[in-house]
Amino acid sequence: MKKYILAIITLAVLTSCSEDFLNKPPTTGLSTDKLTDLPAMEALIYGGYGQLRSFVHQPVLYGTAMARDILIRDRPEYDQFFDHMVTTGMTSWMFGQGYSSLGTLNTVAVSDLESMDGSAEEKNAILGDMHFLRAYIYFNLNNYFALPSTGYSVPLLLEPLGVNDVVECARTADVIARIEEDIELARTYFTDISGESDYYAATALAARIYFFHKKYDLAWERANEVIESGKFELETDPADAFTPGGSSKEVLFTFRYDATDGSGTSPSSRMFEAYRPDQSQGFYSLNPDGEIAALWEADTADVRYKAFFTETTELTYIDGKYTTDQMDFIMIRLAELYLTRAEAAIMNNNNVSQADVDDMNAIIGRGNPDNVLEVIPTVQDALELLYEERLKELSYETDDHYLNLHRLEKPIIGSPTEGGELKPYSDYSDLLVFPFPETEIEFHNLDRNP
Amino acid sequence: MKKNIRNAIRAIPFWLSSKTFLIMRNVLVIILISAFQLYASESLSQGNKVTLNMEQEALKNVLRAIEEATDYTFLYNSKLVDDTRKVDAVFTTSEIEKVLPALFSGTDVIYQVIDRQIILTSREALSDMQPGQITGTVLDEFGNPLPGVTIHFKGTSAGTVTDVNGLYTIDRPEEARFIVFSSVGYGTQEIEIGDRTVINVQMNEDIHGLEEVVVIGYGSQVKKNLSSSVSSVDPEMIASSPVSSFEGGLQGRAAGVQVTTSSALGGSAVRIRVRGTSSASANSEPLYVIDGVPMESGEISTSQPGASIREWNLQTAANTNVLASLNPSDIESIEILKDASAAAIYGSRGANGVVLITTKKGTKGKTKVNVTTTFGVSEPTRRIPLLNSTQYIGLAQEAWTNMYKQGEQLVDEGEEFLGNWFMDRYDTINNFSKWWSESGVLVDGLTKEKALETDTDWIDAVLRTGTLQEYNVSANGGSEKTSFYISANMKDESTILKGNDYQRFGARINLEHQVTKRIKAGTKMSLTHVNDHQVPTSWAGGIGSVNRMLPIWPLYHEDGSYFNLSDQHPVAGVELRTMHLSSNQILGNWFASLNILEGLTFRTEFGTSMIFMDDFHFRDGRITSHGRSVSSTVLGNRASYNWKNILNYKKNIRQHSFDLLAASDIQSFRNRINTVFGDTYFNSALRKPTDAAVVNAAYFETGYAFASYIGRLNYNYGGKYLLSASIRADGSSRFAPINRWGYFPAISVGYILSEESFFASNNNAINFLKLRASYGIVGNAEIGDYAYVSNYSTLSYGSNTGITLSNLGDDQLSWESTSQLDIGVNWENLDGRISGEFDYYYKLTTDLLLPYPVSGMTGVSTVTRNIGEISNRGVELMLNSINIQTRDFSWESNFTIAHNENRVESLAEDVGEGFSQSQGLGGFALYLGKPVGVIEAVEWGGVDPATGQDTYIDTDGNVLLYSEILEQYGSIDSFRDEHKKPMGNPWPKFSGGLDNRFSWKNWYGNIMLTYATGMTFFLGEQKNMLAAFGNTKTNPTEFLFDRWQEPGDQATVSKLTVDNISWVTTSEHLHRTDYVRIKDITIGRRISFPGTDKIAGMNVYLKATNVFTWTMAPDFFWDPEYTNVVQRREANNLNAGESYKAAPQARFLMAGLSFDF
Repeated sequence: MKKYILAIITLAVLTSCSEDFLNKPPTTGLSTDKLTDLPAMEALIYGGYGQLRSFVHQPVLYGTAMARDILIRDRPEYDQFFDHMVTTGMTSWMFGQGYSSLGTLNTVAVSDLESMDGSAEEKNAILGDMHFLRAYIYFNLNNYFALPSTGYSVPLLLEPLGVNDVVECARTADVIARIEEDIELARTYFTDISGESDYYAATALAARIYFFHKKYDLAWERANEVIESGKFELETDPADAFTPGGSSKEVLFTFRYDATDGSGTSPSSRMFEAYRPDQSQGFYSLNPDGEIAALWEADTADVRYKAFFTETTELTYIDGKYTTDQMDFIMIRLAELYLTRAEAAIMNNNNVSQADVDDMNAIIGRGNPDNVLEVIPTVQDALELLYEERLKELSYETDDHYLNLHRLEKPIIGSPTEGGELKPYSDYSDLLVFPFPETEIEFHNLDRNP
Repeated sequence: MKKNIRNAIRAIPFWLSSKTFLIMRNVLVIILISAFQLYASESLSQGNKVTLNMEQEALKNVLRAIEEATDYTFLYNSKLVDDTRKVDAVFTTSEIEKVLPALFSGTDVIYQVIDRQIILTSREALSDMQPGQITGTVLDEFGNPLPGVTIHFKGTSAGTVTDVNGLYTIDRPEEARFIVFSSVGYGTQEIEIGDRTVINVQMNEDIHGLEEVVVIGYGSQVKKNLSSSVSSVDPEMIASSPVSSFEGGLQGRAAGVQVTTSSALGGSAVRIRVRGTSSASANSEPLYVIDGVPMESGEISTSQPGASIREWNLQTAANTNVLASLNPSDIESIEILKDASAAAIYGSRGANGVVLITTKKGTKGKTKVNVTTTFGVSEPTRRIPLLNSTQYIGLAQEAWTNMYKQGEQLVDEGEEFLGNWFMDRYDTINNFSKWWSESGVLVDGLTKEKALETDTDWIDAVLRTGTLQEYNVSANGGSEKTSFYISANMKDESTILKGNDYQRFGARINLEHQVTKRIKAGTKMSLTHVNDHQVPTSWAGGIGSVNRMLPIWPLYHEDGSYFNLSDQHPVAGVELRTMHLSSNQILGNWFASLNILEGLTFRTEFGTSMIFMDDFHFRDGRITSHGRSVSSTVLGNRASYNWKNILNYKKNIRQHSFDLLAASDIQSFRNRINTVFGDTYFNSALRKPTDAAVVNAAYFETGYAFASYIGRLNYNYGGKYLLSASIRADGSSRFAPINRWGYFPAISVGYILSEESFFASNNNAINFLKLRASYGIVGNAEIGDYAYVSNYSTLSYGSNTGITLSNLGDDQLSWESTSQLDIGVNWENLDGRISGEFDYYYKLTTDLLLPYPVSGMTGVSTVTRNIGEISNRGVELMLNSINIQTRDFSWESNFTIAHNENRVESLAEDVGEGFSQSQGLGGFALYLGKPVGVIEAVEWGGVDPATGQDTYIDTDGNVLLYSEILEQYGSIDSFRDEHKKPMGNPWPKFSGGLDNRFSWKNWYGNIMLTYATGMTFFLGEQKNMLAAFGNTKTNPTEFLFDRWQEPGDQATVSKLTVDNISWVTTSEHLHRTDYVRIKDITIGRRISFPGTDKIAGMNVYLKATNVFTWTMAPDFFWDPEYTNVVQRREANNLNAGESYKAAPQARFLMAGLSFDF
């Protein structure tokens, strides 16, 4: 009997559950308490870049639709942008992706980098990227979520948000100040060291930021600094800037996409799919239309039309900028800076100089030598020409046209249901502001009209 | 009502109308001929008339001749009966009662006729018996000796079992008046002894006897003495059904167990809810325990290889169900523990009920072999009535005309710009020439002339007549010390979906051995190989895309290439993809038990479940969005082991009966998955990921552990007063250390009134009456493995590694706890002719685990929290009646009905009356007072008879025309944001079944109905069909016939337009899906073969399932039964009532043949 009891006790002991048996933490991934060194901070930076892959193409596609520069073939959800009846369904994605990346970056922002092992250069590279990306994200969010009539914009978060934290909308002016401070800090941190981004990419982005913030003097300075640095060159053939896998000297910064890294949807794939000729393929199925189509029809000899557009009996589609879904997404290139420098100078001086004409001709003449300016135009003509040239040069690549419409407060062509006539800026400026996601409104009681 | 009648499935079964008829007719004829031939020969020899002319013939030859000429079989021991004795047997149409005396007069042989068996023994043998002994033979339903039958005298402890020849001898105590025969799977027989010394018995199969022993988790108990709610289901009824997995066969057979099958795909998943859904976001499937091993139910392959790498819909078809790997023919018993008292023994995993499956074991005696083969054909239960070519053109052009008329109206109203634009675009004057040229219907080179002569049935292109064949061989037997059950099975199904082929090969060995007098050891092991060629459904294409192709479009170009090729081409979507899952599964349980003292036993069990899976997908570049071929392999293994140690003590002290249990149980689970994804192949012969230009690899690993201590007391006093109390302490790795342990107590009491002496006066009317009550707490820990930990996952950026927040943890996270009160009654009337069971229950789940929405600015959209309460309350009734029971004919009915109300009782204070959250392409909503699974939608007010516009109702009750909404709110989306409200209820208010079983002599039959009422479903596909003629081309179903055409029309569909799809969900898309279904019709015959020992019996049957369905579901529902469990199992409560697409179910006609040797 004793031996039976002993056997039972032995088994009972064996099956006694220690906490060790129940201690099964995740075997993959990294828990929060491990974020204590520079490699972790660097990984957060790359995480922030990676998260932006599903963010950066959205302003391009939405902006193009809102500017009515597309024909929507097979994706009725784009009708809401085209018809200026934007709902939360599509835009929530953009808002969420932006703040997800901001959360990752802000984790770096509040971390104690000082106490971490590593050189000052390594830390500056991390901080440079953090401020660069934060400026870029807030710039985009502010462009689409700021309500012009009240002067309020998105919440301004500079540290990770806890699940119970409640925030409120920031004043647009404060957001703008933060964007500009961040991009200048990025430039400062990048003075002697590069991260994923670098000094000139930050300076080029600063030029774009100031340009659309209508601070033309700073825009001119930043654009001028990049151009005059001599580190970048315009391609003779504009198509060369879009060579997959290429390293064009015209390109200042790209969001990277490497098909072999398994990183999921790439922004370039969205651009590729959006403009495929086959209606049944691709996710977006959009075609050039509106102002841009009209411009091209008037100048089909332009090499950019030949390089980037294909015309069939049924449709014209743009297949030259993103020829594959596996290429980097170009954030900014030198051509934009030439046009920015020219226009910023004209706006500053209210005068057109030969230098401005030279900047314009650098882009216009590359497209079609027959169109180069032989004489200095009037300010009004120069600005109109620049408006059209930005549209031709940067369309289906950035949301430049949409931002330009806002900046210049130009009218938009109305849809048939609106009567087909021009719709003045005053009628659409607040309409084109993206609504906040419902859940954010409910959670934070977000109100841009406090 | 007219609509309901119209919506009833009136399809004539395909075997009466299609070419399948020829196949099935031949099968039917062969089976009926064989059956009737047997019947005919039997008929000729029916009765007990014997004609013989044998002189001085050995007795054994005479007996054999009688066996051959009649149905009678002689059973005797040749040592006791001299069968070599010469006899004269000259009879002419003599009664058997006259033949037997003639043969045995003057001898000491005595005989007894039981049905068709004649048992011979000798007076000498009887005289050798001790005084007070009783002897006899026990036979099974085929007349074969039945070993291992327990025999005891009522009210005493004296007992014995039959030997391998079914013989027994037992000493009769003086006070014994009744002798009781019982055996697992057979009805208990209680016989008054009188002055008899020979008592022979034929046992009949029985599944609901009160003396039936039922498995209750960590032990078993006589059903009569249960004080908790446990349902038993006859596994034989499931074994012969063409269900994709055994749990699908539970439908309608157990009250309170709601079963929804997902689709006709081979091995597809089944959703089961026991007494409603107790959770919102945690997995609410019951815990399945097979031979003591807790199973990881759900899909074999949980990976989504395409989810993060572009082609996200690589795998949104069926994921093969783990439980489908279990061969239903191997199942001995199925018990469903429904109330907290029963399920609390499984503690933290019992909140959703527990399904206990026990596989067959060997019985001592002669080896019995069973060979069963089944053949079946199938068709869809319903075909959605897509428009044919003429109908489509008519409606599409009507939409075009309506737009033109709208232009005219606008001009009349002074809006000339827009009006003229409409009139110009939708010009209908010239034979719809603009419709042909500009509507977008002429694609891929199609001409008007070709379109007009085309009428493609896209459903026919992807569906077929399915076939099913199953083979099962089993043998069981054993000696005094060792028993065994071995089986092998094969299932080969080509489903109704072209390209979907499912094969299962399985083998099982169950062994028990009495090592010493005190020690017993054994094992139950099975190996299963599944070979599943899947096809896309739903979002992924195939059958899910049949309405994305127009009837005026041909399948192929004249050169044989696919027409308008894309991933939406239903045929190309199937043919240009490979989705092949193969898996090997090992399920094993090993045990040893030690009988320490009388009544005290110790049992240790080690169980394991292992799944090795290999999932391969290939998608041809012609149907990918980027034009390149892609493929993936997913190799995974899931391994779980558990170890139980159980100490059990049973003791009877006078009237007190104690059954004490103490146990410990640990379980560990680990799941590892390797995924390789390949993109771009330079040669069409290359298909494996490693041959691709771009290769991505990923690895996934997760795991959990449970540790538990269990205690239970079952007590009864005098067989009248019942008590059961249990407690389980559970620790789980799924929670933070500070909340790791939970405690789950339960108690139940029962009172068998019918055992009281005062009840005797009523004994004729009610011969058994038991009252029960139970209360207990059970838990739910099914929230994923690491919800309490904040974690960062990695991504690649260029050549660098990035990290992003993937989960915001909460170390306060704890179990969902469900407390349940159950009050029930069991009764039997008229000596068991009518029996029933009624239960009322109230379940309250607290600390609800919810994906609580948080600000997306945190980096995540939801976190898991313990918030809120959900209740389920309901009643269940199960009635069984033996309506007719004569010598030759019997009719038995089993009726189940269950009513359940699911309700959210409380939520976090800061969410007010409810909240909603977008999730991927869908979303969910939870509202106080509403069931889980409601959808936020706009209330549709019907079609305005004057204008043909849709109308909508705001939250103040105002009815607005669609145009008014546009005017006031800018868009229907904005209106929705302000006036949405929770709607729908995905859970049936009433569900159950009615099973009728008939037998006439050796014929038997079965008709079973199942039903469910009161549930609703949002089918997103309707949105496509309502906007069929906009930019996105869709072929709608005939429900569009009821559209508004002119002022005054009372229509259910608004004026046809070319508007694009509105994705706003409204109550127009919400539908009742009540149904009553003839689930099963079976007719069969058991045939015995007297006179030969080569075959014991044969069973032949014909079965039809899902024969006919009446439903309220509109015609664009493939079937009223659908669950999107396949795609979103983890969120299937919150999204249970809506889906974008659905898939067909299958109707089967089967023939089966079974031999017993």
